[in-house]
Amino acid sequence: MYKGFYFIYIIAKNSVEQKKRVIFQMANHVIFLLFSLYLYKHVYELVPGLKDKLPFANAVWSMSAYFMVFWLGVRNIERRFREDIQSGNIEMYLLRPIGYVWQKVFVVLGQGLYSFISATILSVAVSYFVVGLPEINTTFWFWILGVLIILILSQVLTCIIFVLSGLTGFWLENSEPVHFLVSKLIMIFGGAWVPVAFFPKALQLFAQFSPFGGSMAVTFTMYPNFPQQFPLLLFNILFWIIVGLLLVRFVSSRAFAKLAVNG
Amino acid sequence: MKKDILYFIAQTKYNIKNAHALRSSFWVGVWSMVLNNFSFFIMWMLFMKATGPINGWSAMDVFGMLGVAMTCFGFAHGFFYGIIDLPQFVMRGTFDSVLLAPVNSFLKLSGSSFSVTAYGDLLLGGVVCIIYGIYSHFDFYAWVLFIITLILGCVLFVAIRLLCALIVFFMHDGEVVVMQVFEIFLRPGLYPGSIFPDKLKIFCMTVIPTLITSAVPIDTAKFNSIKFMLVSLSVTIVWVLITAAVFRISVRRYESGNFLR
Repeated sequence: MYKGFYFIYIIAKNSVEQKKRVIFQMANHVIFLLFSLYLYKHVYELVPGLKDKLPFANAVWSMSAYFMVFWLGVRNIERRFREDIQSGNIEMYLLRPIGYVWQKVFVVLGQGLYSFISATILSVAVSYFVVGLPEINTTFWFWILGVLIILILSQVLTCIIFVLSGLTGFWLENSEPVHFLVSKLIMIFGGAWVPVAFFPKALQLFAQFSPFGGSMAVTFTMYPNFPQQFPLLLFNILFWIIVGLLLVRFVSSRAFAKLAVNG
Repeated sequence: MKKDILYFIAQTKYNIKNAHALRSSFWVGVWSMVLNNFSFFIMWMLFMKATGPINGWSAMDVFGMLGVAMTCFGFAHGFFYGIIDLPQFVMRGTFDSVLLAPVNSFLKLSGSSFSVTAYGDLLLGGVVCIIYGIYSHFDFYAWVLFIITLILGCVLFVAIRLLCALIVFFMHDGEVVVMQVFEIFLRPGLYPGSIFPDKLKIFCMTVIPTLITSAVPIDTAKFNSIKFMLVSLSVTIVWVLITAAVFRISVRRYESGNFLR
């Protein structure tokens, strides 16, 4: 556990030198956030009925939560796997004292950490100063605690999903199509550009209980009915984490058995 | 000039042939992008279902708009992918090979690299545009306006893509900045054109001309508006001229052996 945190810390420390990258990423983030906010404000004025589906403030917080998590860059795990498998560099990483899958997860988390922290501060600041706090039917501290728990667990689930996508590279010539499919399902059911509350009921249920919606469940914590949905969200994410971990264990053992090291 | 264009066509032809040699990989790349793009259709269809028609735009218009955006993206990345790789050329100092070739530098650069997945965008975008035109019962005049604005959109997309890539000549480690700046241009164009307030719409048609590559061809054909086409034409000319000027200045700034820095 300590080794893992230390690994992430070292990678994050190394990535500090790329200040320019983080600055421009954050500029992009704020511009896009303000842009979405302005557009949705206009949409809510044009279609007042949308307030019944999801209040404007909650829609803004939900989208800003999605883009905040986006900068952690967990989806890049699959690309890391793909590059190593296609280049043959995977052999090099197998010699290290930490498991290959863990190495890739730690590297991605470390590289995205500064962007994620910056995006979190900016998302919260922009959303708060523009629309105030979202309407949540519970106490502030319960909400914050709930958001933190769901944020951490949902990102664990996202890691597992993209590790599984990456592992398909051991069998496919190119695992990019799998990545496209998975990331787009997460984009739709995570409520990236369009909040899930605007979807028909059946799709909302699918989003909440599928692993794709579960991996971005932090957006659902911004909905007014979060206190009622919290146990279900938690159970859903924990369920998919357990299923995912079992699958990673099974698939990775098959994958590494298939690997031929040429030296 | 004719010689340069013929060279560019030959380069593109060989790029496609080359990629098609690995047939299964080629088609997997194309179809995966088609599948990938469907997600945008689904997302915005669900949005339009929740809101109903906005400012005269139905779900079908959003469908057409995404088709236009995909065609422009696919055109730029399918035939001019070399400009996307320009930052790498400059950072590694291999831009020399482009400058030393006895053909137009822009055309030589454009055809020097290739993206299979862009053909998925182009294929799907083209099909969607045709379906949209047929479904919307375009008359001959609307088809002409639509095609002209679509071509202008494609040209503008290439110009903006190149302009973003040119940042690398002015900034050390500019590679990381190029993508972020390009995304600022790209993203607004993926929102339905009808939800833009007037001022923002004008801004996104001129200063960040993303709507020219997505919503404007739809508005032009939908309202048979020559005014929209003229705006599109003027904006495209201005941005192409700016890009050409910046390209000349950038190339003069280039020094061999950048990799040593």
